[in-house]
Amino acid sequence: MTELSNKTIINVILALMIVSLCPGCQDPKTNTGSAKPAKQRLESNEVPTIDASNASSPVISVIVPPETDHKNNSDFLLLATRDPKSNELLPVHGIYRRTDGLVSFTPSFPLLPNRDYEAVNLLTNQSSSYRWNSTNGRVPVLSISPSHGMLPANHLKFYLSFSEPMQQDNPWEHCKLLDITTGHFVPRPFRHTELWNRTGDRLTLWFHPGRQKTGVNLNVEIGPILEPDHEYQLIINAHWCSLAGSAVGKETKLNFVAGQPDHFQPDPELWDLAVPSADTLEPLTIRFHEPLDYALLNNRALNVFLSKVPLESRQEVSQNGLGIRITPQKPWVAGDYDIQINPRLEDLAGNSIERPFEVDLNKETEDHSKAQQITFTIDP
Amino acid sequence: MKRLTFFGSCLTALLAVTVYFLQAPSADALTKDSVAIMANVQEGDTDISRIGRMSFAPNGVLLVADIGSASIVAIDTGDAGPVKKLKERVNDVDKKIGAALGTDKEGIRIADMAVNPASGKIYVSVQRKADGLNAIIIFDEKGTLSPLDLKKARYVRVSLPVADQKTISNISGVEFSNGRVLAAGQSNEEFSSKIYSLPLPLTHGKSGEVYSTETYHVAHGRWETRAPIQSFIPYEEEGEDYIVGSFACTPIAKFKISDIKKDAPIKGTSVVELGSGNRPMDMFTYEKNGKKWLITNTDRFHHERRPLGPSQYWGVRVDMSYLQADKINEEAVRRVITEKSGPNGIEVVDALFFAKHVAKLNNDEMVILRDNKGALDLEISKLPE
Repeated sequence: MTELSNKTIINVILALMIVSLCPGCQDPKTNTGSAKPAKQRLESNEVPTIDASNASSPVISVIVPPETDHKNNSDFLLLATRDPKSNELLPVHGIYRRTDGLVSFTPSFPLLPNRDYEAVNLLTNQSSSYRWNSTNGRVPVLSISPSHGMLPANHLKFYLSFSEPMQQDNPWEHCKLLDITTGHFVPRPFRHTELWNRTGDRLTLWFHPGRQKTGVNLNVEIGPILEPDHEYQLIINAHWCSLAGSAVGKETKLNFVAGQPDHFQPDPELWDLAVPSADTLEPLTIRFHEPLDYALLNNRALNVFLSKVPLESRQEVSQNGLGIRITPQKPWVAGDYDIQINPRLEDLAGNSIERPFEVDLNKETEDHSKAQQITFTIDP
Repeated sequence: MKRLTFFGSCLTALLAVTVYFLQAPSADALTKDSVAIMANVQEGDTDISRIGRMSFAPNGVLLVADIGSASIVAIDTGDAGPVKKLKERVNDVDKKIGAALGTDKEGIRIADMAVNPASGKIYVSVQRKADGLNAIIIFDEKGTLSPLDLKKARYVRVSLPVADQKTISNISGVEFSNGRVLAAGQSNEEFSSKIYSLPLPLTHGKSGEVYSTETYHVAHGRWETRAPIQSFIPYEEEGEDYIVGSFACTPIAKFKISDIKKDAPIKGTSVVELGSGNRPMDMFTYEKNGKKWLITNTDRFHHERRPLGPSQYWGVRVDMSYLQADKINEEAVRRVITEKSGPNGIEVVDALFFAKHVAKLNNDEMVILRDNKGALDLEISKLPE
């Protein structure tokens, strides 16, 4: 008993000495990893020792008595998280190894920063805490497109663009739609399908299509999401975190009024072109007659050709999808140019160059497709 | 003595060689009829960027949708059986998976569940929210969990067509079919989905080819719009291959695969309407007493406003003969939403209340990942007679 107490005291002293060398540690029992962690080894068979050379993947060890060969390695040592509600320890998965009277454990997955773990010697029930700290990344900045003051009542989607890759699960839980006119939040307005871009920094947030599409059961039963002439506020909460752990930090609000539903297709023949002069690097400026889909426009929806040779150019889409500026890499030469248009280019209500979002089959007697090519001339 | 030693050495060497060849993995994973599933197999890190839906092909090949890179990863799990099904319910599966990954249950996203019919083992695809780490967790017959090593795997990766890769941001299903793997992808810029065919063998480094198509839905016999498929299964009828797909607000439609042409739109034929306010989740078929049934479970997003039962998660079985019905689209049979069953051959399945994920084990049993007052339990349940 005396020997055990002495060992415990020695261990505590050793632990305190090591912890005192580790800046920023508050809890004397916490082993803390850092970018350049000290190698920690407590010569004891009671408190698990933690080698935090690799802070996210520490090696945790206990010394085991020789007469315990028949036991499983997992009978000696456990790394766990503690459930704050039930206070139970839940095992972290890892790989066990046994060499020279030592059982060691390495987690199968990197441990998360800024989170508490507990290593338990299951023979003695002694434990030591582990935590490694990392600074959170930059605060994400959010912008929403489109951001017009008026949107058609059959508007389909918003693009939420962040400056950082974001945590992605159930994004609609961060979003609400307030009907300012009635003072009530619109119940479940968003499509519950996670549509992130490949870099994880842009979410396509759809209104529920079953309510926006004419004749679909939800549209018939409970009506569309937006009522014409009502004022709305799209609200994105402040708690949404980046993958690096930083929250947006402030609520983002977008106000708009719902106009009449838009069932008309974009028509390139109605677009206004400001044609540049020859031998200049002035942009070709195209102004659409209605806002078009910002993401589709940015995906090279328009391509300029001179005598069937593609023009090397830089394209800038206006934030609200009302226009585009096409600047050539080399000065314009005189000639007749074609602009090829992706037939899938849509307006805000999903009507594309190719076809309306909703085709009324009772009236389907014509080819819906609008011009997929327009021309302009640069004079000598 | 010397002679004996030499003979013994030869025997040992022969035995070693025999054992090696018996144990050595084949270059390709083969189907039962020896059609290769995988070719140019890689060994190492699968490098999955955002894990999604999964299903099993023959011979323990797990098909995994990598949403983040718009591709399908086929993994040779080496899990060839024999069947040892889960012995008893595993409680708090989400809590256990969360802890295994070094976080808690709120810190994970469970993407899908698949059962290897050859072994009965249950595979759960999961992502750690905080840093986007991807994992596949396997539950054995004792309910013990272990991760599938995605860093040291035998795998092939097949990308969906290059032209669509930028805009495909959800893969709503991946299934092994007759001589091909089918996948359904949803766009993040247009309200549409496409069906992709990946020919066998799935060859690492190649991209999906053959065909892709948009899918359409007609409402009230009048309004035709594009419609993304939420879940699907391959299905054969009188020698023809079909896809049976489920859209949001739950029409079940079928597409004849031979009708699908590259870049040409196709209209599915709606055969059953299950009712509005539901999002389909999983789908499988089974045979019982000489009858074929389709099982699908859904998330009722209008549960609070108009509940159908005790949970927003519910499911139904549909007599497969409805898929051959003459009455289609506007005349398609509609589930009687005020009753537990009806018309004949369409029945709410009690065991599917609270089921967040469901997968077929065999023609008698299914595996359910069930919501239990906010916790998730894993269990085997009988399929209806």
